[in-house]
Amino acid sequence: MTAFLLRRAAHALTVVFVVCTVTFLLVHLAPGGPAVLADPKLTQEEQAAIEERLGLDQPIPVQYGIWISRVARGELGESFLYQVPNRRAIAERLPNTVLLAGSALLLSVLLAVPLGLVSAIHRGGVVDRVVSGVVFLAMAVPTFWLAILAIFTFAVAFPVFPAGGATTAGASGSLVDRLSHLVMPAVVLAAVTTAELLRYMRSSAQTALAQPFIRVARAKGLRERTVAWRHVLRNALVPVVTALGIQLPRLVGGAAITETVFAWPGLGRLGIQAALGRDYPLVMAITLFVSAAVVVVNLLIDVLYLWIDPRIRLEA
Amino acid sequence: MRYAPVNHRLQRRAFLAAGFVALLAVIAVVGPLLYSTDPNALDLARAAQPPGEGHPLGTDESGRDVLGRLLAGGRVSLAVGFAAVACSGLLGLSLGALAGLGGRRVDSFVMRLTDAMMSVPALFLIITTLALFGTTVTGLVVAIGATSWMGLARLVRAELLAIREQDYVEAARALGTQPLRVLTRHAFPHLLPSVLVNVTFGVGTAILMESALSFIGLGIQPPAASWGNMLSNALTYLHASPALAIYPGVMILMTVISVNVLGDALRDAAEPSR
Repeated sequence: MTAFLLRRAAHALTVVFVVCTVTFLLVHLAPGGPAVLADPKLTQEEQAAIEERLGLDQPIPVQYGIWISRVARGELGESFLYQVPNRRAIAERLPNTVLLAGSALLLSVLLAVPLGLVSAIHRGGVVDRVVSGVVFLAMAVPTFWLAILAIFTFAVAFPVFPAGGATTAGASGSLVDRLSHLVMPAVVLAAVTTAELLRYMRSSAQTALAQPFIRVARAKGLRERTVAWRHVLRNALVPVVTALGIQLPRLVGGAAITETVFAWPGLGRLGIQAALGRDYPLVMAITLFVSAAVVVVNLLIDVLYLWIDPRIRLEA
Repeated sequence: MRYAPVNHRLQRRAFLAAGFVALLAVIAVVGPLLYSTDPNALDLARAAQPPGEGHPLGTDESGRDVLGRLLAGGRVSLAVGFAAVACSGLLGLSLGALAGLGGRRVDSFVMRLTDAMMSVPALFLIITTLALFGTTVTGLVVAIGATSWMGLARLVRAELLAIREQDYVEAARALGTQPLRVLTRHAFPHLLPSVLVNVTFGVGTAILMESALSFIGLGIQPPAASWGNMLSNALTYLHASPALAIYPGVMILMTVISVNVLGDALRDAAEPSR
C-alpha cells in the first residue's frame, strides 16, 4: 500500500515537473523571449534592463532553477490585464470551476455506473442499444455546440433556464437561483465524460460478469440483484476509477469551453480570456495551477483504489 | 485458412462514412470550381437572409454566403485535422519506437514523459502556446499535434515490445539482417493496422479540438471561415437566426461520426477476434 502511494506521488511530482519545464521552454522559445512576460510593448533598452533585473542574462540552467523554485513557492507573477497577483485572480474564480466540474463529474458517475451495469447485464437489450447510440453521438459532438443547442432550446425557445452567468445580476444569489444557473452548463459538460465512463463501465462489468466468482455467487443462490450490485459492481469499478483519472484533464479542458459559452465566471474562461488578451503571465499561471490541481485530484482518486480494491490495499 | 465473419452492417456504415469523408475531401480540393460564390464577400444589405436565390443556405449576419463558408470551413477543418494527426503520428511513432527499442533508461524516460503529458489538460497547454506564439494555422497544427501523440506512443511501444520477442524477428536477426531493416521490413508491417486505427480516431479528436479553439477565438482567425468560428458568430445572433448555429455543428458532428465509424470498421478488420 505504501509502495503504491509512493509510486503515485512520484508520478504526480513528475507531471508537475514536466509542466513547469514545458512552460519554461515555451516562454524561452516564444518570439521576443521571456521579456514578453514583463510587457510586450517595451523598447530594446527597457527590455535589456528588465532582462538584467529578472536575471535573464544568466545562463539558461540557472534561470530554469530560479523559475522552478519560484513556482514551487507558489509565486505565479502578476496579470497585465487585471493588475493583480495571478494567485488572487485564480483564487477568486476557483470556487466556480470546482462547483461546475464537480457537479458534472458527480452527474457522470451517477449516470454512467448504473447505466453501464444494466447495459452489461442485459446485453443487446433496450437500455444497452439506446445507451450505445447516445454514447456514439456524445463522442462526436462538439461540447460547445451542445451548449449552444442547450441555450437555444432551454433559454431562447422555451425559457426554463438562464442563458449564462453563475447568478442573476443584482439578485440576492439564492440557492434556487444558483442551481438554475448551474443546470445547463453542468449537464452539457457531463455529456462527454458520461459517455466515456459508460464505455468503460459497460466493458468492465462484462469482464466481471464472466469471472468464476460470479458463477459461485449465483451457485450460492444469491439473487441476481445482489450479484449485480455487490459482486459485479465492486469489481467493475476499478477500471472505471482509472478512466475517471484519464478523463479528468479532458473534463477540465471541456469546463473551460463550457464556461466560455455559458459566461460562467470560472478559471477556464479566465484562462481563455487571458490568452485572447495576450496576458501571458496569467495564462501560464492558470495552466500551471490547473495542471497541478488535476494531478492532486488524481492522487485523491488513487486513494479511491485502496477503498475499492482490497488487493491493492493488501499488496506489500 | 478461415476468415473472420464480415460484419455487414458495420461494412455498410463504413462505406457511407468513407463516402462522406471522401466527398468532403473532394469538395475541399475542387470546391471553388463547383461553387464559386466568395465565402468572405460582405453584403450588409442582404444580411441574415433565409435560403434563397444565389444563396442556397442563406446568408449570415454580415451577408456572407453560408454554403460558401461551410465549404471553406470544411477545407480548413479537414486540413488542420489531417495535418495535426500527421504531426502527432510522427511524434507518437518515433517516441514509441524510441521507448520500445531504446533500452531501459530511454524507455523509462519516454514513458514518464508520456504519462505526464497524458495527465495535463491539453487545452491549457495549447492556449498557452497559441498566446505566446500567435494564432497561426501552423501554430494550431503543431500545438494540437504536440499534445495528442501519447496514446499512439504507448501503443507503438507495447506492440514493439511484443514483436521483439517473436520468432520471425529472431529468425531475421539470426540471418544477419541489419536492425533497421528488421524494423522496417518485419516490425512495421505488424504495427501498421493498429497504428492506422489509432490515427483514424485521432483525426476526429483533432477536428473537435480545432473547432473548439476556433470557437473560442484562438484557432482559425476571421474573416477566414471555419466551422468553429462560424458557431461563435452564430451564438451572438442566436435569437435572430438560430439556423446559423445548426449547419456548422451538423457538419462537425457528421465529419467526426464518419471518421469514428471508419475507425470502428478498420479496428474490426484489424482485430477480427474482437
